[in-house]
Amino acid sequence: MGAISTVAPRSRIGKDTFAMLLQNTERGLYCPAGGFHIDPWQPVDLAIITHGHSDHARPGSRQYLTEATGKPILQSRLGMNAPVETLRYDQTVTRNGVKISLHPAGHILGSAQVRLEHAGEVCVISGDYKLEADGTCAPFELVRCHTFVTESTFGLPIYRWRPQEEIFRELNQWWHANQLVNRTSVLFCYALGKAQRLLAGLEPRLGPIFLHGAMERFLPAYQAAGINLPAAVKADAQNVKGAGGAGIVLAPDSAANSSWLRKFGDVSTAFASGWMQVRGPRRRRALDRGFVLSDHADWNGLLQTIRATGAEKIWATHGYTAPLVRYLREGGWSAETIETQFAGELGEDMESGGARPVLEEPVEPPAAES
Amino acid sequence: MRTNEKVVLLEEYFRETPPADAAWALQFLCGRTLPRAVPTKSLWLWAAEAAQIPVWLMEESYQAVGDLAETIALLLPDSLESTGLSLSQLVEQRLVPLRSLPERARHDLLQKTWLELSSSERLVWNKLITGEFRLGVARTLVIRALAAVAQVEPAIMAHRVMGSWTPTSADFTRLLAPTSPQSPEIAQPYPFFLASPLEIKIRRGESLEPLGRIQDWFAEWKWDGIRAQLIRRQGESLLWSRGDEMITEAFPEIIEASHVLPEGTVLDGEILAWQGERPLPFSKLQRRLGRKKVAGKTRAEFLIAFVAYDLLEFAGTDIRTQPLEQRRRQLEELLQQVTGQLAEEVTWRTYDATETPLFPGAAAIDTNPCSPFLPSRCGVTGALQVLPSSFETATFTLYPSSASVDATCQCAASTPPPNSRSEGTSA
Repeated sequence: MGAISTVAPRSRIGKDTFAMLLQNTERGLYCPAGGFHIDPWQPVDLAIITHGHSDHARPGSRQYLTEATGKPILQSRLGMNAPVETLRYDQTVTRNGVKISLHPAGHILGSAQVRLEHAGEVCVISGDYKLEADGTCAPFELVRCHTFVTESTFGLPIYRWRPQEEIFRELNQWWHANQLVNRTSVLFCYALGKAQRLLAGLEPRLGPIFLHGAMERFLPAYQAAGINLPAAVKADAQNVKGAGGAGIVLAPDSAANSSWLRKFGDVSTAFASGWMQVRGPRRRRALDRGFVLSDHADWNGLLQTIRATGAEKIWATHGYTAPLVRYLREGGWSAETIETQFAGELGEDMESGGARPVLEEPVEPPAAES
Repeated sequence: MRTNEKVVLLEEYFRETPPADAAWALQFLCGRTLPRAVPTKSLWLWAAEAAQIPVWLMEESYQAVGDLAETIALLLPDSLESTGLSLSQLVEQRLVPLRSLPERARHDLLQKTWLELSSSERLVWNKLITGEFRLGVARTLVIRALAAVAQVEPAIMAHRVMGSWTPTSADFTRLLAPTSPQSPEIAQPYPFFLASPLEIKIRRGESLEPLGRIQDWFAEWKWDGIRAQLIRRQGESLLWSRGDEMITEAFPEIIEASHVLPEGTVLDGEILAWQGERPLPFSKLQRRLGRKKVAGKTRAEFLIAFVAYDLLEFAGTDIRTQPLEQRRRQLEELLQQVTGQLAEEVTWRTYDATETPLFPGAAAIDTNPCSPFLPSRCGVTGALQVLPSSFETATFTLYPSSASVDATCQCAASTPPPNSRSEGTSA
């Protein structure tokens, strides 16, 4: 993590400055001074989007701002005519006196932390982030700040990731073992981000790689960004069966137990997700294998990042917020849970492996200051 | 994982693992775990200490995982180096002492052991110290694998595993010994003869002529219980369910009652839960399956009946090639002899469908004495609608009593016995 920028000591900043910089509203995070929202779940005038997953990028806003490489993803989600403006990483724009810049979050292509600065007060909204660099998106970059709004999808100490090299080695071994018994490998994963990361980690010399249509949809955005991925073709009964069990098929979770899948004959199934860390979700899906590979920070990654930002005030959102907040408070931070509203459906590409926790804490209006 | 792949993995394990370790593995695979070695409260505190987290955070983690042993395995810091403890070392030098050590020494031994194990080893270890180790492998598969390694029949291996052995290298080696011709194994059941539909297709309303005369058939209720063979040989009794599963321990009543049977007897029949004159639903019985021990309380819930419908071995001789009618007569004579000596809670009985007004002419069934017990299935399609459409509820089995009809069939019938089921073959 390379730290960038310095921040002024909190003592020099005015009392109400933070309230002007960031508030949690019923449409989502809002910057009153700048007049824009971050990842709002209802239509607004200007939405800054951290990344293109459907729980962060909702339709209907008049204007969107996102990182340049994420634009095709956002447009494939919101429509080609969606009004999407872009910023490059580290480029800064000022709106109503608020300095806005985007910094790599390492989650998926185009994912960004949003840095806001107003009257000396610096706030960073992480969106979803991952510390391990994977080659399919710009690696995470640490940004120092006074207030850090962090995701906490895997905010429990049971979630600790092993290096991805180990996971990919096991994944390729599994694929190869299936080939030896002429059994097609079917790897379930989220269509945006994880699928491309897996593609990059598969050993293309082993055999043909096939994709479900949902995965194909996002490939042009990665191609446009110059991300090198192995060749993969759309899966159908002919080409998959024609490979005689040598192939691997990447498919969204929703394709499990589908008639589409049954066309492929004898298959071995696996799911790649951080949720596979626990045996319960693995067994409930009746999978042959679960590969623990997440695009989110694990428990240690969350704590490491929070400490390194130098932030005194932490807002936790998404996932296991309550344990993280309590742990931080016991460690001397000012920490709160920020309720996230999902508009009814969970995005197809979210990491909702059946273990998504219920947000137990009531919606608390954030304190205007700390 | 496919069943066969599980068996192959087990085979490889039993073949390649030193007997001292494999013996303990078999002990645990058979569900014979050791009692809890560490009180739960200590386990919580010491695991939180090892993980360097507050106990409340461990509780939150437990809520997400739902299993204490797994939670602890996930929370502990990465092990420093694996010391390569074998399973027997782990059990004999760590697990067994752990139970008897004083508090402080127990704490130290547990912490030390955690540090020496890899993440997946810790899960097993934690399951062992909590006495909750279970593996998703049916005992029949374990036995099948052992049988393959020892190159003996699965039935023989099941009998050996059921017998007395301790988790030692010597006993494990003895379990895997080849069959000796001097001492023939007594455990072997006969293949089960399963009813299956007839090859002749007869649609509703069509003539039953292809079946021949009703008098050439022998009718019998099809019970919704557990199809079983009861073996009495060399002073020992064994109970087998269909599919190579030994269920001797699950029905102690039958075993106790079977002591009155003469040497060299094998009965084919159905185990049923029984109350008064009626069998109880299969679900009552199901709770017994998989039990290693049946407590007195469970035994008191209902009676167990063994409804015998065939005699396969008599006076140590395989009589399966004798005509059904003859076997049947011998069976009835045998049971009449022993009925007076039976323990009270067991009902021995034969149950002949001709005793009930099953269908017109049934009482007049005249068994033609030439139908051997057929150890093969008679494959066929479609349910056979023998009776008027109003009679569709129960299933019974017809055995051909005539040599010309080489099959059995299942038909719909009226007035079902209390728990007979409407389709399929018996359990």
